[in-house]
Amino acid sequence: MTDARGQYQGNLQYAVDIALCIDATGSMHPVLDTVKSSALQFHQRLDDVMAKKGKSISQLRLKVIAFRDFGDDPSDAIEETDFLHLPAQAKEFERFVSGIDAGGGGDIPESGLEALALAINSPWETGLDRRRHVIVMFTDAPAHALGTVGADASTYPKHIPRSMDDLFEQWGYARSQTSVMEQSAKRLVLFAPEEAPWSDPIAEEWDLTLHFASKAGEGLEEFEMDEIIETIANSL
Amino acid sequence: MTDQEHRARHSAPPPHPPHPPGPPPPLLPPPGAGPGAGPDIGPGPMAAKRSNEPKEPQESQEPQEPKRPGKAEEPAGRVPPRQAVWTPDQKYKSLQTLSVWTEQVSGLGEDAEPFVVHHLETQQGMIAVFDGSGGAGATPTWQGPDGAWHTGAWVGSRVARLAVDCWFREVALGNEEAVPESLHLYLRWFLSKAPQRHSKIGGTMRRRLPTTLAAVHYRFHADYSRVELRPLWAGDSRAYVLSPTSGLHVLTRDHTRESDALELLRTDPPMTNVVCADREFTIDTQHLASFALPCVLVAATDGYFGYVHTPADFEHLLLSTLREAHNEYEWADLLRREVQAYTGDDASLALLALGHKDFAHLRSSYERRFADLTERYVRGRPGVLDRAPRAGSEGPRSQEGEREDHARVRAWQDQSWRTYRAGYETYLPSAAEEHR
Repeated sequence: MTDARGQYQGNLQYAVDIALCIDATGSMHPVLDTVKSSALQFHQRLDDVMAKKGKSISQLRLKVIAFRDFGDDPSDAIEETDFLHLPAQAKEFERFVSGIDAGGGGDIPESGLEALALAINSPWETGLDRRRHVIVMFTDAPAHALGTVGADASTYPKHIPRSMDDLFEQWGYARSQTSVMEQSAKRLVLFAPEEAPWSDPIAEEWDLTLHFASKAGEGLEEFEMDEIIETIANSL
Repeated sequence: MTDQEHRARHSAPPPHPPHPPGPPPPLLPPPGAGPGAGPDIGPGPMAAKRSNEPKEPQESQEPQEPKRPGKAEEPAGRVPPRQAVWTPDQKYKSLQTLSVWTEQVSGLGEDAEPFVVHHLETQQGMIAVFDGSGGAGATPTWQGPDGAWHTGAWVGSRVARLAVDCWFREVALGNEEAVPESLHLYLRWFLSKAPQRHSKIGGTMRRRLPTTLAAVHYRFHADYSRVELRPLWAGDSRAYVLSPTSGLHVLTRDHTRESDALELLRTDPPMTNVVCADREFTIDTQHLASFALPCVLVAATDGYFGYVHTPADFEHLLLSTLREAHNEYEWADLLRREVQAYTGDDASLALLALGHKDFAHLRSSYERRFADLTERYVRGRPGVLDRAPRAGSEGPRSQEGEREDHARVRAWQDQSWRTYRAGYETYLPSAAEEHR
């Protein structure tokens, strides 16, 4: 029987963009080591987990935003890559994460919201079908309020919102006209402590969030890469 | 029932405590058999027999072995999935039903088995499917007697099926109205009694025991020439009615912000409403007072219709498999094999043919529609749809060819959908405000 469904799966697979926001301050050695050691296998491991769920990926792009604290040292408070195609650019991805040294941070809150704002405004895929735009936040600390710490530094991102309300507008909600992310594609996965702003308001009030509560100040040492990838796959 | 009574019933325990699980109501003669045509000899308490269990001999059943289709072969190492068929004897030929249930990972499928029941005394019945939502309900929640853990999504779909079973029993006995408010009450009550575990994952995507539900309750008119339909649903599983003359019509509107069926195939968006144990949900409905017989009612999870290239493809699947089958068993077998060849999800489907004289009549009734559908929506599709998929993802350069294929497929999809849409959406309900 020649049927109408055929074998072509190009428009039925998922085009996945992932922006990894990684807290690179002093306490974050454990999760950074985990990400570094598995960088080259990230694509295959995500593919395997998706395959177990009967799903496949047409395109995988990864972007990394490493953040510290603009209040401590504005010169290295943000380091980021463009979107890298995996597996083709896996070596570039590995080189970047290998170069991240956990250090600095100053006081307890970090500049996680600046990283989140940059991630929201990333150049997400717009052409392929079944797009998934996933932001994954790794941090063991609360965050400074946007625009309050280090905002005068020349390295501070120029075009990001200056308040939590404005950031929420960019994330969007039902019938929102101000969202910069696609409602059907966006997801936010938080590996973060149960502290402001991660648990409240973001995990509780923003739509399409998953929050894996971490222990504050312990570098997310409780998470294995398998668990992280499984959580990302479940968000798709 | 007054609004006041509605409110009172929503805030109180079920007025008729749901019965423990048990056999569904007895089957009675189908339309056409006429009153008194042997109501005491229904096929027994079970509305369906599993086709992979030994078949009992039936007087009127032609002893044919299901024909094995050659196209979609059984995947190696997969446990044969279950399918159920009710093949009635001569007195019941105008009521034919089957259900098909497959899972991606054996033993861990998050769709519950489809629900199919017909109550002969009152000439009403119901088909329903349930798709546990794995992303939102991934927490291991219940450990079975074999030691295997099952997710909240797995539990949610089974508990919802049990609630629907008990609810229909009360509807058939006249103790409940076949309305969404009473079904909602049963679902809430059963989910509240089901096993739940605290998850260390929070966030607004998380749900406890989340599942979709798509059902059609039907009742024959007194002269058996027409049928009253009431689809009931939550989430993105769907119910349809298939007419020999006008084809497949969707009866439900997905609870997603997008409602265009082709756009839904392209985006696979998140649901805005789903049955669950920890948040408010709604059971949506519409009422079609009179639909002409013969027709076929269908309820399906997105494993069936969410991995095709256009909405017309799903109707083509139903009719092409019907055309190849010689009896209900073969139809079920073909539907199962075909869906396993293309789906990326657990897939379940319940199907009830009403008002056909027998299977041959059922098949011949849709021949003209199948020819028309094939001519209009299948011929002319891009050749790329016949090529095998490439393995894995590739770098930016090799994606150029893929994007060209994608553009060709997209143009064909748009053209197909433009001409198919009006008929398909004839009975599409309007969007409830809270789901827009």
